[in-house]
Amino acid sequence: MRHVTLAWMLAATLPLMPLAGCASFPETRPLERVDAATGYRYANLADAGQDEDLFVILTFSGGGTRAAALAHGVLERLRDAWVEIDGERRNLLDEVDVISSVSGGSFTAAYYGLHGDALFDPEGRFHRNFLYRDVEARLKRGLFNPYNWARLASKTFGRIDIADEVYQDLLFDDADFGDLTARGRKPFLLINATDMAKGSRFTFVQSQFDPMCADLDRVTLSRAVAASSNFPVAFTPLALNSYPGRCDYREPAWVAAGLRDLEANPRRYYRARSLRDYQAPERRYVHLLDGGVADNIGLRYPLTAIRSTDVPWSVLRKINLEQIDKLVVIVVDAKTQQVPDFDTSPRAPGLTQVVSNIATTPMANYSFDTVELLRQTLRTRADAQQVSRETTPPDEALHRVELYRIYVGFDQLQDEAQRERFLSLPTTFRLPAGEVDDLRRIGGVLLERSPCFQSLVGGRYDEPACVQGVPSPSPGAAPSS
Amino acid sequence: MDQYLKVVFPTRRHVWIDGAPAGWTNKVCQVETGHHVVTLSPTHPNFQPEQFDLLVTGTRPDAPLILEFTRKDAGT
Repeated sequence: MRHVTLAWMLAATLPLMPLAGCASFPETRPLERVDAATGYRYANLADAGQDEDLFVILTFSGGGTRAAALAHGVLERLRDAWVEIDGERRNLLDEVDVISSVSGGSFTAAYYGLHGDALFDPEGRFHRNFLYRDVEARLKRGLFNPYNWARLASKTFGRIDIADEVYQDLLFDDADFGDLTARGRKPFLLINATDMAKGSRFTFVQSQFDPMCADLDRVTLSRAVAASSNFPVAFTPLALNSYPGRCDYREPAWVAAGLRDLEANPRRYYRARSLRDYQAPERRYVHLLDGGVADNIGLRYPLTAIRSTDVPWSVLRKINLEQIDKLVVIVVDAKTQQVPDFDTSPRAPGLTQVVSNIATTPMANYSFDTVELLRQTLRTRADAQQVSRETTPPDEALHRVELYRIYVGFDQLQDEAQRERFLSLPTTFRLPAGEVDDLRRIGGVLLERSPCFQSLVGGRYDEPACVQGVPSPSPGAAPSS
Repeated sequence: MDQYLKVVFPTRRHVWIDGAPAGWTNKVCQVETGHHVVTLSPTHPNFQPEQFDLLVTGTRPDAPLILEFTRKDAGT
């Protein structure tokens, strides 16, 4: 019977084989001319310069449906949170300026960026077709469809292109970045993938596509999300076309300066090199992997914007220009921490376990360092502001910014059983409805419990809580002995 | 590493760093360690020198690098 089925499937596939040569990934359209006034750039959003005195950045980590649900829970809590600034009550979700996301977190970010509050609709598409759905089964159906076998025989069409089509069908239709540009509203989305050739972050914003002379406005959101969640081996690398040298691209002035900084600031030097490399004439394609390979927190690009004036939407520039008075960075980290059992046995751990460790441990360590780098960055700034205030006339001192660093992660949970439960959830695109509900709830709870978040919504800036992570003692509290 | 810079000019102007507005004159601002081209807003090009092209390193918030621009027409 099995042979009959196989024979039937082969017979059904054979007529489709000629299609194999035709199947190819969707072509990225060339950009005729780089124009800073067009395309998906922060500065081109209609409300770009508005309400920046409170500047809110969210980062959503990878972690499949677990990460998507946790991010969703944080957005829900922000929807119900308010801050008072200069006597004006403002909704925190409306105040979000930038969302930087990776992998599973990119589904929530992209859907919210495109559809706003429709994300929260219990009967809506995001809940029905993604959050509470077995997306893995849907992906498998796509891969096992005989029609797709024929297409997958093509060398320019891979499993990731099937995933792109599935996400299009489930969530995004043919919405592209041009639609986001036309929507013209914050938050500015930074959907992050990894450039396979360089191992560096690749973000779906027009400034990244400029040196490739490629038009991001014609790239679909499903494709960006597929690239961002392109788990290596399970999927094939995702390809984009590049047309270097065809659009009169002029690199930003900082690149020439940065290329002189190998000794003084190697981080900046390599950023400059990276941008210049996209202009190499032989680089006609860019192959992308999951954003988690380069940065599984989605925090690196915002960190660069906080530390450098080079980024087109540089936060540091806005601080220097006295446009930002309160900077809020909320890191939503769905990392897990499974406790392996191989140390209970003298037997050597198996190959699967070893490969899994090699694949995940460096990523987890790098993510930890990234979160710590944010703490260090904000602390250095806070210290500098204080020194400047003490030694310089007030109107000449560094602009004083309140710095809010809020970390949402399962390891913040006090209850041990609860903590262990969330830390051991799998990375998958299917979770039972109860787990999704709990993840949404716990996202809100973790945010709510953060002393820094309380300080933000309470209107009482607690710098030790927000910068160092050590809340100030409450008034009247007895000193510890 | 973070660096600190103060651009001095008789009036309040935008300071341009590497081709974009990135601070105000007569006020300490923060920049990243490295080479930078510092000038004033090109809207009123009545200042000199035209620009500073220099490596910014080794500064502190209480000892920023001071760069002074003067009016082109000063003293004439």
